[in-house]
Amino acid sequence: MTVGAPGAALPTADTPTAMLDVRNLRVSFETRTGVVTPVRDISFRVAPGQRVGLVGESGSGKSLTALALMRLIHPPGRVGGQVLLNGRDVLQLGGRELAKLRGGQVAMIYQDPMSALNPVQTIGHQVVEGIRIHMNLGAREARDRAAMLLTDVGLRDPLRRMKSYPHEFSGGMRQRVMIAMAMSADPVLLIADEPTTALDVTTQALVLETLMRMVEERGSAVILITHDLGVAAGFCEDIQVMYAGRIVERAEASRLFRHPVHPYAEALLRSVCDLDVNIAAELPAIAGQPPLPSALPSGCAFHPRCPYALDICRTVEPAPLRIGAGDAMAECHLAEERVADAVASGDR
Amino acid sequence: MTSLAVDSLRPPVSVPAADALVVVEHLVKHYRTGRSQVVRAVDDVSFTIRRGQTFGLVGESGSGKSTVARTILRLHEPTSGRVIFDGVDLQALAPDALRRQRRSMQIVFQDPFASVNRRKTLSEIIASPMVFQGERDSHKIQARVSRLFDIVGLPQAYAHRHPHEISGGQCQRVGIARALALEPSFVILDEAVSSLDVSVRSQILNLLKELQRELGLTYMFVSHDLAIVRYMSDSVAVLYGGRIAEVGPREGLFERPRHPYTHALMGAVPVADPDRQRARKRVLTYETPGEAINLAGCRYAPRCPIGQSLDVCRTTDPALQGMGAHHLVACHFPQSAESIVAAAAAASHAQ
Amino acid sequence: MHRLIRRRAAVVILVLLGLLIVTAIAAPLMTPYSPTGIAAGDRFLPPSAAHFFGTDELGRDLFTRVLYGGRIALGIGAASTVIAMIVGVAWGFAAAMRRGWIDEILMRLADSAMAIPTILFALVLVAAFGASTINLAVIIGLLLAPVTARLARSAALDELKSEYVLAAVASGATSMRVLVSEVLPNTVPALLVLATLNAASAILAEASLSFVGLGVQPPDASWGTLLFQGYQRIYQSLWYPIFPGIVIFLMIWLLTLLADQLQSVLDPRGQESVRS
Repeated sequence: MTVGAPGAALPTADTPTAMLDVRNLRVSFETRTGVVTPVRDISFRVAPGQRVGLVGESGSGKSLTALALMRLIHPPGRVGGQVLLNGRDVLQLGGRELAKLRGGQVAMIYQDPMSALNPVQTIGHQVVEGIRIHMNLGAREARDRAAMLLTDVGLRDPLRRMKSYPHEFSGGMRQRVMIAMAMSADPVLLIADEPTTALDVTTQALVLETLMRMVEERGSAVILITHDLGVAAGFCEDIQVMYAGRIVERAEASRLFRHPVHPYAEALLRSVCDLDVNIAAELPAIAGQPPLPSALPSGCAFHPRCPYALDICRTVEPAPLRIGAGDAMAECHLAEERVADAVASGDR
Repeated sequence: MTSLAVDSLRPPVSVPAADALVVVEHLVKHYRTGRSQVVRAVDDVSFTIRRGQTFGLVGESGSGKSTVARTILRLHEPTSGRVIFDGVDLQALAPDALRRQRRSMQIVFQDPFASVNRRKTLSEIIASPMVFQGERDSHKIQARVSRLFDIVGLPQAYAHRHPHEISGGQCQRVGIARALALEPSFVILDEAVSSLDVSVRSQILNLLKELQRELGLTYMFVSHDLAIVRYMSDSVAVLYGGRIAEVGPREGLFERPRHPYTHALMGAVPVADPDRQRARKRVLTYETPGEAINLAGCRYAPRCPIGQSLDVCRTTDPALQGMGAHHLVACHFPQSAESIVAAAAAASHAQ
Repeated sequence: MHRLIRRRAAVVILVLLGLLIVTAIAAPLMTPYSPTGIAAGDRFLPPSAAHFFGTDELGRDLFTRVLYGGRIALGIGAASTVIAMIVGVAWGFAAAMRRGWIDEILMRLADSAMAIPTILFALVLVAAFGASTINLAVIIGLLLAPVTARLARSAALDELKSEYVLAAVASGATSMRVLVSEVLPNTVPALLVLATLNAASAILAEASLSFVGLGVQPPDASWGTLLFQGYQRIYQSLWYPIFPGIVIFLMIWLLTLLADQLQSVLDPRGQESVRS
């Protein structure tokens, strides 16, 4: 692994294959106690067909990031920065273009399918409606396409099931319907905000499998937002770890899990309880709790909980350090040494 | 389709009475919903919890695990069945006696904020069990509250704060402190860490284990998270559709699972290692719409790669049979890890 | 309370209400006239510096009459609100705690009471028991009790469903304890809003009864009575009914606005929370 110059700027939009280029995205809210900034100038890119995970706990800003990308943040929230989708800034689009974009080129699925589905309309109606808004199809063709999509997500006998209402479906099926609706216009980007958090683990496995198949078939890029590292591990090629409104580390999935650079990423990975955890030992835990956006520590937001914190960490916010040739990076004063250690210990 | 030899001739070794703190016998809890519709939340569940141990109860939504927990404590009245706590038949207790009995058996709930009175201070919340049980000596109460703050790792300075002024993890510590206020011997942890952030979860789990050691507590740990149940428990029961699918000592159950549902659960738990995660084989089939719970016969049959196509599974309820060393499975065709994968593959092809 | 004070609208409302109440209570200090002082020569005078609201058919200063009328109107209003709340909350909470057939009976009683037209009910009761101030307070209080009971029961049921109540039961709390220590404190916000709305209804009820001549009787006069008397003599002085009318309207309106403010302040979703 080679190390880029500390604080080097990320590649510009001239670099090819950046379908989505988010630059200095910031989300802030005016509250009675002052301005709170839950998402603090984050930048990242997504290539066509790439599956990126956005992993974080409460207060990390991950869900607000997703909402900001779709311009779903309303006053008193404010969004700054640029969100370039194939060169055009989503944050500057007018009403009609935005409506065309949402559900068309960019689609979103949510944690709670019941709130995304209209309880008084049949499933069929909603899927078909979604199709007709974004594609120029007649009623019959739209219905056929809907049936095809529902089959794709694993619903048997779609023409009959289309006449059912959302409450007649289980949570997993509703989620799969939502995937079908989201994919109906073959979006180039799918944003999935905690799509399986509310589901049982067995249903989750099925839904993720379905999602993977749908996006691979269509070549859609995915931003998967989750707090579950295991889910991200199985689904994403690259993972971005967020903490207190910043992306603290970005790496290719395998590398992140083997050699996390940022102390938070490292601690988070260690504290995950999976089936192979050593029962006799104490579970590795991170002391303290994630900070509230309204009460951020000075310097590096993670320093109060970091076992390696130095004096500089208390006062100076770390700049992103590029790692290797791609987009991998980590924001930590100790990043350089940690990367060097990893190289020394024989990482590929 | 292969199955393993069933050790049904050797009955499970019964637990000596002194060792058994909680004995649940044929617990049933049905709810009436509207005209003649019955939800069989808990449908004949029996198990024994030994003193000083942690008994894990794992299941997904609709499995009835929270209902089991609450019915054991008689927070809901069971439809039938008995719960014997430390030799006392809870069903036979009069209301006042039951209230006093509650000193020994407590519960920590899933949502830390919903389970505390938001208008009270932390100190008042933790003191409330003592007040409810008739303790009048405010010095004694204060001293105990102070001690509990220390035990669960909360700063004394937080005594006058309100729940909305602290974090989820801290609030759950309050819930734990409250549960310990009356010095119970048995504590049910009902999804106690499920609502917490991952990094905070480990703190609370460590705390719970430490408290168990120091205070000699017996736990029942209810969760949908198989990995955490494995970490915490000495014995585990897997619940599906209100019935026990498989139960046994932790090691045996996790190393040699037999019930197809247990295999499905274990196969579905995400592993935080991309390479291993992608190498896993699927042991599931898609849910059958609307038919997920089969009331005649094995509850799991409609989703089971083996049982979907077999009459015996669909019509006859499997009884718990021994697999050796206290390990019981309710299945007509218990499976090993290899055979279930093969069966699942075959079932997928057939679809 | 602090959240309420932070809202400018609420502060204005509270100040105005406070003004109305204080002037009514301190009536003797606010005016040199006596409410019953007859001055035959000064009948139906229009408003002036000497008589802010003008005079009535017996030359009595209307401003004074309105102030003293406020004492009665607000007195009856307050008393009946208290009665309505005590009776209604006890009724509603009892139903919520007991469920089963006690709940059914209590609620059917409430429903039947609510089915009878209010004014009719009031008329019958006044006819039967007379219209003394105390009677009026009790009658109006009882009129408002059934709706209060319904709403109190709702509020209590909401709290009883929550997990902290279950936690209290799990710790050995008796039903009474749960009610007093857990449910009541958490229903206070909703009950406060209810009380405010009840006060508005009470004042309106009393004014209506007095307006049809069945409420406060002369020589005592509440705002409703004054309105009635003014209405009878509207051709002789337009001003006569206007001021009592305005005051009644203001009082009810301010109370309703206050209830709105309380409602928004006490709504938990009003809490701003920034979560990712």
